[in-house]
Amino acid sequence: MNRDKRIANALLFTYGIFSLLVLCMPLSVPVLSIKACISYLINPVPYYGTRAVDRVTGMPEAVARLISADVENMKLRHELQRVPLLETELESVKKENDRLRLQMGLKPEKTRVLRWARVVERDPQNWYRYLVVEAGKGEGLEVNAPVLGALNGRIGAVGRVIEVGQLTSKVLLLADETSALASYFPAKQWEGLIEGQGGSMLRMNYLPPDAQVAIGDSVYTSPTGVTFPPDLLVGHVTRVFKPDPFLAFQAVEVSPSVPPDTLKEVLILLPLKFTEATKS
Amino acid sequence: MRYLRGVGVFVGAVLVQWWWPSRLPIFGFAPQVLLVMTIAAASTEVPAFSLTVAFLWGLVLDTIGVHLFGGNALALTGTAYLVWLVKRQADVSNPLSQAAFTGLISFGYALFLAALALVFKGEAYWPGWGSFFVTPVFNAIAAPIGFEMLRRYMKTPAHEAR
Repeated sequence: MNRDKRIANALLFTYGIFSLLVLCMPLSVPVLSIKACISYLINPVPYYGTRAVDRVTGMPEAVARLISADVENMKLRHELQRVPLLETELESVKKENDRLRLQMGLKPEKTRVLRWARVVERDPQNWYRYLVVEAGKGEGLEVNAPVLGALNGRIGAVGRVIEVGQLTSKVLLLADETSALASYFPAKQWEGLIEGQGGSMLRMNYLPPDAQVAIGDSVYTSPTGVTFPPDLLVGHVTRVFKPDPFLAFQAVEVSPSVPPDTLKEVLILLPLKFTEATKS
Repeated sequence: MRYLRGVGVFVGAVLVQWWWPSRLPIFGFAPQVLLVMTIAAASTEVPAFSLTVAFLWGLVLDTIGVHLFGGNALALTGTAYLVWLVKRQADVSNPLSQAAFTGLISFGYALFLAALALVFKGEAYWPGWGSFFVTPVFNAIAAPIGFEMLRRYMKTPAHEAR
């Protein structure tokens, strides 16, 4: 018993000191290296785990899908014959658009590469703060890539990538307290800053004091933002806070257009790339 | 052989911790599998094993999370030590007492983590009252299963368990 007690005390002391050091220096190089090492070791867990679970549970469905896919394939082959014509039309419209932008002296249009990724991990303790998606460096993801979600056919801003692993990446949701996003009301051009509250709702601060915001108004990403493309739906106003005499701005509560708890898949906008045409 | 079993327990618990909340959340809640297993390990195993796995599980949780790296490692190590200290006074031999014991410790664990975050980050990162009250209940329900699985898998002799 005494031997056990000595061991327990020594281990508590060692691990306790180590944990406290790590807590005190979260951004130091050794701590970041330790975190990277552990991430490297546990990153495959959600990735391969999801694959294994999906493979086992989805087998009967997969067979049924295979049969229906064959039928659908036949139909799509017929429809696909129209695509070359549509592509030609699109190319011509794009060229015309580039030409007009150039004549108006606007900056060249940027293009983004899209990537769908499945949500493979969530933590109930941090339900509205972050999630892990099945896409990593291999797919070209980079830190700060904007992440979107879809609900009922509508796309909305969800968060941004904060850590990129080899196979998976971590997405910081808009609802996290450390998240912020420049947004605006397109109809009136009032601009503000969406900030997370750690819960299901968002808060939009820094609106002009005389802004007449109504419940139900839609909030979109601002053209002045850097991370997100402009005019993406962020959410709808659910509450207008009473003006605070000590603050020089107005604030509203916003319900996200894509609630984080409904996310099964997300759309990640990969880093901006100028099109070859624009470069030339 | 026992060391290999220990490694198996460690990896298995990490897999369940990933699988349960991601795949089987109930009303958005799930038990904190690693906390439950820490309590079970500290109640039935020698402190060298229980404190080490608790610390490593904590580091895993910290790596998965985005705030307060090291917080879970400290909290789980502390939990393992505390459970080891009080296990002679507390009866954790039947499922009901295991559930009650785990539920109580879960409240303390959540409060300790919030306090740590407040001290080191200036913000509690409070998971919400729903999570605060429901998760310990889930932990309590999962506790007898965790205790039984650990006992069977590790084949702990009775004289070592005490």
